[in-house]
Amino acid sequence: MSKPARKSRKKLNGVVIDATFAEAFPMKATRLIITAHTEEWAFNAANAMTGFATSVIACGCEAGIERKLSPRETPDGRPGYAVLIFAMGDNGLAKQLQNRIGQCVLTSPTSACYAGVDQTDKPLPVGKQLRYFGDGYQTSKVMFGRRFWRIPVMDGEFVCDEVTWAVPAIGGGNFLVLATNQAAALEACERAIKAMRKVRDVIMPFPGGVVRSGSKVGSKYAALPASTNHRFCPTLKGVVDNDLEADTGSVMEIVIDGLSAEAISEAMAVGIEAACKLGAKRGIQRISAGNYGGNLGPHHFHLHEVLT
Amino acid sequence: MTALTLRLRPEVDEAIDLSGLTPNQLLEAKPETLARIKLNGCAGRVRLADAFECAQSDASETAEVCIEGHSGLLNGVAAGLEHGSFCLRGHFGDALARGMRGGHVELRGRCGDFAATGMRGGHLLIRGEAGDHLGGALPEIGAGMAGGTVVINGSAGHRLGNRMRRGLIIVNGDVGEYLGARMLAGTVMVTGQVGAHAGYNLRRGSLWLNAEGLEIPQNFADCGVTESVYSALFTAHLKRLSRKAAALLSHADTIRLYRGDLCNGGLGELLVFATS
Repeated sequence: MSKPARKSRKKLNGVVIDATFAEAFPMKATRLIITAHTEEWAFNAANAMTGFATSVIACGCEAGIERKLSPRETPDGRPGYAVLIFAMGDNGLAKQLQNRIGQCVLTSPTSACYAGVDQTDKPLPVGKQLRYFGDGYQTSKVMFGRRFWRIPVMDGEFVCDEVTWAVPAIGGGNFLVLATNQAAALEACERAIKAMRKVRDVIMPFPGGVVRSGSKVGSKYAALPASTNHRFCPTLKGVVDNDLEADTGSVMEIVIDGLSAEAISEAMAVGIEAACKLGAKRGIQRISAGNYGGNLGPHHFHLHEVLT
Repeated sequence: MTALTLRLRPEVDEAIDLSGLTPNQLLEAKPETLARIKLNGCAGRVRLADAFECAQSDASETAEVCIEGHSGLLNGVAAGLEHGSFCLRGHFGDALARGMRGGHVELRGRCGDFAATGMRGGHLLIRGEAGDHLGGALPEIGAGMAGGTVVINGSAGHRLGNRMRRGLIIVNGDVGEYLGARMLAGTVMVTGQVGAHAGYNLRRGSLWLNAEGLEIPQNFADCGVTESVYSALFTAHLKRLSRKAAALLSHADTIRLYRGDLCNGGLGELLVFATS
């Protein structure tokens, strides 16, 4: 990860905003709408489906709950959640969908699963594959110009769209919160996440939206594709060349995947502003961002620009 | 835009086959060409101008062809239609929208038998009564309606949806005997009374029926009251096609599921809705 430029610094509530950028890369994504008899059971299905999906490096996809949906916003008039799933390509996305819907949504009581994006030229099978679970008792119905599958299950029927659609997306938007201590960094990140969850078309895929183990590409161990971002590790301050202040005690990162550059920019802006509201007086020192010198991805989110 | 009205002359007393006539063909034709179009009548070929009074208007908001018929003499209207729309008024004959693949047909009146037989797409709205075999099988194919939607704001005759494969038929009225007989798939909803032998030899497919006065055929198994998500989706879908049917379903106290015909695999379903 390249060292952030220290010149032309900007401040927000006493917090320094580095003149650097977050580097993001193209992905493929889709949105699913998961409904159930109650909001709680819709959440259970959505939460399970988006579990173990923090990073494509080892999870195969990045996924998260985008937002809660009122009954008016869902196809079947029940409470629901919109989830976004990101992968590096259509095939990987299709495989993850099949496994995750099959194991986490189909299995969840009273659930149903619908496509949540407009049609593109890249269909991703949902019911098209899952229907075989019906063992020949499944039926399909065309409604609203879409084919739905009805699969008999023990609590009634699992209903889902035949396909959802892959859309172009961006993964890896990010910013770092540098603070004098863990508690301050965590509180700033919590405030940021709370604000960012109001932005449409984005997810923050890590636990609670925050990652404490930011990584760099590569490792001294040849088998590892990524390793700890040592330049931002406070406990290595005295050992390695680093990007920290002398009194920096904790760094946390928020990673953002989105369906558009505009959505990621908006999420970064509201997140940074919310984090900075805690202020320098309460231990927030700097906001920085992770990049790889511009070599990783074509999407560059300059912190100063997203805040204008 | 151009609108064309073809009014069947009162003195015409022979049946005329209009199959193959498309809205685009009629709208794009010059008046002299239009007049010379040959139609098949019972007594031989007739010129369009001899059978119809033609009126063209360039001030219409939509490009459509209106046909006014009487005495059920016009057969095969909109048969094989792929694009465009027909607005029909009066009493039409057999095979309305037979083999229709797309477009939109609205009939303000009634029609004879075999409407929408072999239909594969598009939307047919009948604001009146329809005859027998609606959405049924074409003799030469052996399978019934295979796509599209038909809404009837009146009653329909016997053997509606016979051998139906796909698509949706909504009847806001009563239906005769053998509704959905030998159906392979697709959906039929009837808000009124249904004659005997509904779902006879039903293989797959869904028949939404009003519980009032309904006799459940012996070959169907009672699977109890259902709380299917499909019901909610279907109701939402109906709102776009027939508010009356949607309202009836959304106010249903119970929806009871019967599986059958048990003599033919038992994978079809009667969804019987009861309202207080």
